[in-house]
Amino acid sequence: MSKEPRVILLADKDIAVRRSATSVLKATGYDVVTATDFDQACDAAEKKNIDLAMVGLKLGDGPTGFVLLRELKARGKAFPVIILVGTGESEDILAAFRLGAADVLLKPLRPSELLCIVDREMGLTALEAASRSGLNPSVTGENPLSKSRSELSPVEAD
Amino acid sequence: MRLPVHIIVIDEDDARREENARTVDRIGHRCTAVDTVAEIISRRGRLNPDLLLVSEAAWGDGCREYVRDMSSKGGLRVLILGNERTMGRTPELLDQGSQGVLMFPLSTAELDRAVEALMIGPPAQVVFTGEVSAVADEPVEQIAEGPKLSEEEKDEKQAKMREQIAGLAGDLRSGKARLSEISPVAMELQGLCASDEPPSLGRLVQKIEQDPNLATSVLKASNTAAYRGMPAVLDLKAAGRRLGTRRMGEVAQMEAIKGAFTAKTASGWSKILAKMWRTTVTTAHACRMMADRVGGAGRGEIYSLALFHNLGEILVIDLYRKMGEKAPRDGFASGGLREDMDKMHADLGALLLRSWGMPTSVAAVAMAHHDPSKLPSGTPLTRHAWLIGGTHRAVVEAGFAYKKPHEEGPPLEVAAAVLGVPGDAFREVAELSMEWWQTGRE
Repeated sequence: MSKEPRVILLADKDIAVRRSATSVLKATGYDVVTATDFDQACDAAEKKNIDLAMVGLKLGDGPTGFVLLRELKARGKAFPVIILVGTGESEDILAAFRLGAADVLLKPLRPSELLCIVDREMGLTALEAASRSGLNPSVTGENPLSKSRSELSPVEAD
Repeated sequence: MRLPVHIIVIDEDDARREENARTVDRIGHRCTAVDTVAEIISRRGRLNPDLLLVSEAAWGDGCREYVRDMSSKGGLRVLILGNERTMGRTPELLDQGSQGVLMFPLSTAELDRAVEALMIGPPAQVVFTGEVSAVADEPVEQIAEGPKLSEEEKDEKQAKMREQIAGLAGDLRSGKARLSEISPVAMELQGLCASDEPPSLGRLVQKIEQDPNLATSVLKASNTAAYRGMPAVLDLKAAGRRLGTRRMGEVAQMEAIKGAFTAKTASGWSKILAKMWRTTVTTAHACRMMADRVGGAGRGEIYSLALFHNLGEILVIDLYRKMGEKAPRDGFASGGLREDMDKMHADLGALLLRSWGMPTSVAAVAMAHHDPSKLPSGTPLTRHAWLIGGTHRAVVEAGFAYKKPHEEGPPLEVAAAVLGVPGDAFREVAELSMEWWQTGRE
């Protein structure tokens, strides 16, 4: 039985970020849906079966990545959201966590770091889904950090 | 979580308007920034705000009338942003149709709370007493133990130091800077010991063996006075069996970062570094005890997070040392050194952990340990930050300080309430841990 590729929503204004991340993710077997602004991203989140979202802070001239993150959480989307920040400003990173981001990646994206974080979040999502369906999940070859990260993952409960 | 609302920031001051807009953005609400209310009126129908965040001056400059006109349509909330004098006018401003008064600079947490409270139900009058950053108001003091300087010289020196620190932060971000005294094995050990399950002895030994100095230190720890009368331990596997893998992992992590607390030059910095080492190790030990009391997930990594959470202070000391500043003779940081340590260490520490490849979420604990309320409430991540911040404060208050004055971390009663432990739990573990330090540490 062939497995459906996992779908990643990649929303960022910057075409270079979208191109580079898409090529890295697709080469590893993920399916990528891209969006350049808030409305496109919301539309994709409603229509596609998204497993994970990567959201840049700048999304065209409209609402920013923080607003999109809040919107997705408020709409009850349970998939993890990774925020992409350009400056690494501490207030931006903390704001992302406050709003329920699973993690934050600093631009320019490094392929190894990108895949490490995405694989980890996908692993956790699979683990949670399997435990919900009563299956016995087998996650192997895990980075020891990912185990601790699963416990650290901020979950908005409201 | 509430759907994003539309907030219009009205402020005639460009810098303040931009900063307020950024704060609104960081709480995940839509923001439009304008300099006068006339701009909203001219775009009537196109801007449909749910809330106005208005400077005191703009409020008196037509905004009040606009809000009064809009009140028949209902639903528009107003927060006035001002200073201490504005707070004194709160009753008058509420009477004029606003729902609250906040003080500039605005924190994300405060604005978030205010918006959440105001957007529930019909507009109500709510007063929010803003807090002004205490650090921002503190005068820049003289560099520790330095010669007597004029005000201009002090400012110049401090500015130069800030420039260096900003440069260091940039280097950390780009991966160019690191604490060379820290064994590269430290990060791998952290990963290995992060699980709640004790690490496997074989993997732990394999990792420690990569650094001969580390291996020697672990063997030393296995042959301390506490094990007097027992056969000498000569290999790491035997050390692991004696100490237990959990403790051996902790000892190895401790030793892996010890180099950073050792002044290699005879410049007098060893006194404060030794004090910092004592506080760090005692805090980490106390954190583990506290984590055992509190229970819950993530206990395995509390020790390493506690060891690493204040490494940013070492980066500041390192910079002062490299810049040729004189060390504090009594081993207590004061003046400009203390101020820079207080202001910069959390961000620098977080950047350092990120440069080691640790998840941003872990670095966030280092970043927010002084004010864990900045993190999302009720998550294991935030509980770690409360636990570490509270324990560190208790250890410092109990006597293991290295700054003058040394006050940091969240209030102990608040931290205890968040973690659901008795109010004096932090002081208890701090005292036990200090006793452990003073009696030979095993």
